[in-house]
Amino acid sequence: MVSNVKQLTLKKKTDKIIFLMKITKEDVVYISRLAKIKLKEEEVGQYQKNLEEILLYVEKLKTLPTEKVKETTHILSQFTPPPTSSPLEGEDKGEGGANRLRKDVAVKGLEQKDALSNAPAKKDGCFRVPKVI
Amino acid sequence: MKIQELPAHQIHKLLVKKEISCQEVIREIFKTIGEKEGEIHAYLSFRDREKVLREAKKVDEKLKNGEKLFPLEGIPIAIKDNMCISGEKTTCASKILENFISPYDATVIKRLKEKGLIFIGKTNMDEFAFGSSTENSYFGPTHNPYDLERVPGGSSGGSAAAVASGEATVALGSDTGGSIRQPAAFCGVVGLKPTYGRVSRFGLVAFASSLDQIGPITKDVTDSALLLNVISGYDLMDSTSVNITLPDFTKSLIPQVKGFKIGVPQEYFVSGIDREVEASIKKSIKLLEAIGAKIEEITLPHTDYGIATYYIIATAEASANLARFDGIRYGYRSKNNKTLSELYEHSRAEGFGKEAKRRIILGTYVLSAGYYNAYYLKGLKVRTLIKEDFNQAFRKVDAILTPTSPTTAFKIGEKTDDPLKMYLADVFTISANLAGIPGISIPCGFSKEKLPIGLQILAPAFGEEKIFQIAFTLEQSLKK
Repeated sequence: MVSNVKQLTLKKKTDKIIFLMKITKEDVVYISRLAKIKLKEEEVGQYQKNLEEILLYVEKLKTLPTEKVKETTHILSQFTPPPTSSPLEGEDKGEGGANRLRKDVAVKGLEQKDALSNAPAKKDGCFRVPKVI
Repeated sequence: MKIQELPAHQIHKLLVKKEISCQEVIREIFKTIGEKEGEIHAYLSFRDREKVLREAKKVDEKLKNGEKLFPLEGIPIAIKDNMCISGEKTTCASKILENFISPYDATVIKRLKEKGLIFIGKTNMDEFAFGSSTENSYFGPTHNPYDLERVPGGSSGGSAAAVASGEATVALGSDTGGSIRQPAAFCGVVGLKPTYGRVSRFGLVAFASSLDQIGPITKDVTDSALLLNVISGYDLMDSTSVNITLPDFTKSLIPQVKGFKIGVPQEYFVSGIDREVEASIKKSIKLLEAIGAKIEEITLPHTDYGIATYYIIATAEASANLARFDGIRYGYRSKNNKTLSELYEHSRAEGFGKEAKRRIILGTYVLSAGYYNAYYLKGLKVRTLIKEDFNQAFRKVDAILTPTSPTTAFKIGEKTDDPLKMYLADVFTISANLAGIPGISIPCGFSKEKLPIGLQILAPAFGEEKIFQIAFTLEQSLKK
């Protein structure tokens, strides 16, 4: 199945041909470490299978030429103020300069006791964690 | 007709005419919950009944004093368990948040309180809204009120089932890829996903921030407009909420579609769609044509790429959003840890369910070094193409009509072993989230097995008024 996909993607003209990688158990373990989730042995096998199936399905996107297509990062950028003569224009500031920030003034936020109210462990007004060093 | 079966606008009339008290309305809802909740399991938690009745009493006192009520004042509402009500649990149907008590109100909750709605409880959902059947709940599935062996849809399955069964009059759900519309279709109620930016998400536990929207689940289109009136509007606390003038959506409840151009995308009537669903939708299309709408066949050529695009973008965002569950500031903490790293890894391993882990892992993969361009960036580009499909279509038509789901409610357990098959259940609803546009699902008929069928109407961004007018007209015509 995997080799079929390889041929299929090679036949089509795409802006960037990427070979379908076989997902190994080591890949899943590596990804789960990045995601900070300790997986059991049987979960590794299960997710390896799932990931491969889903990525195989997703392969269909690679048949679409998108060289000239701009990515959508803000879906309704037309409803946000357009960029002005900002010196930051052209930099990766989000489509249409859509990073909207409020005025930098102090407002009332969550009280300390409320912020700590769901903490599994706390001490002296702080969240408590195991020894770091 | 029984009170628990009435839409909110009719209850409001009875309250104002003093034919019924608010306390009676609430007691009827409690009674229905007592009769049905055992087999449906729509709720994960209930508010204290005495507190709820005290709020109802206040509404009755207002009425007694001749004070005017807000249109939805005193109406019992159910809230999906991913929105924060101060002092109440918000579990997201996950073990990791099993004991989380919200320290503040979500903006939608604040707005509902201001207009006097009465919260009954928090409803069941797929864990963190990851699913299309409400089977991925840590606390067990919800059952479809029309057939207890079937799913109510998801992820807002508890909210849809609560409204359909009369365990609440109205409800709120959230929709990232169809999670309001698909369960509304499966349960024979009305579900609206508003335009991205219409409703503030402050206090909604984030799943995929570029797609999530909160919206109403109601018994009819009028209630949907009334509830959207309450919850929509700009909010400083959500930088994606859009600051535009708010219409009164009830003004769009006009039984008239003459001159409306309604597009029917050919790509939505292909293989995989249930015959009875197709027939029912086509009947509604004919009906709309008969009463003056102009029906046009349109094309949305990138429809077939919707699910693949969605599962890259949604899981990527989910993996980032769920990084906050670290076992430190809130949520479940594993006892099995010696180091900080173990604390993270074990708390998340023991706290998250199967589908949540699957999506975090997929999302982490598509964002990881070496794959970011091939998957995530590619997904963002195809998203542009999908959005462009709709832009093209809306140059020709006012609205688009489709089935909400290719099938009626499926059996519990039918798709749990095959995540991809489950993902495909969202094929008709996903594009609206990717394009940021609003969509409604309204009931349009029943299958031979007496299962509800849902019809979806999509409109351009901030075109909810068009949706309400067409949906209201169709709803009235279908009653005849």
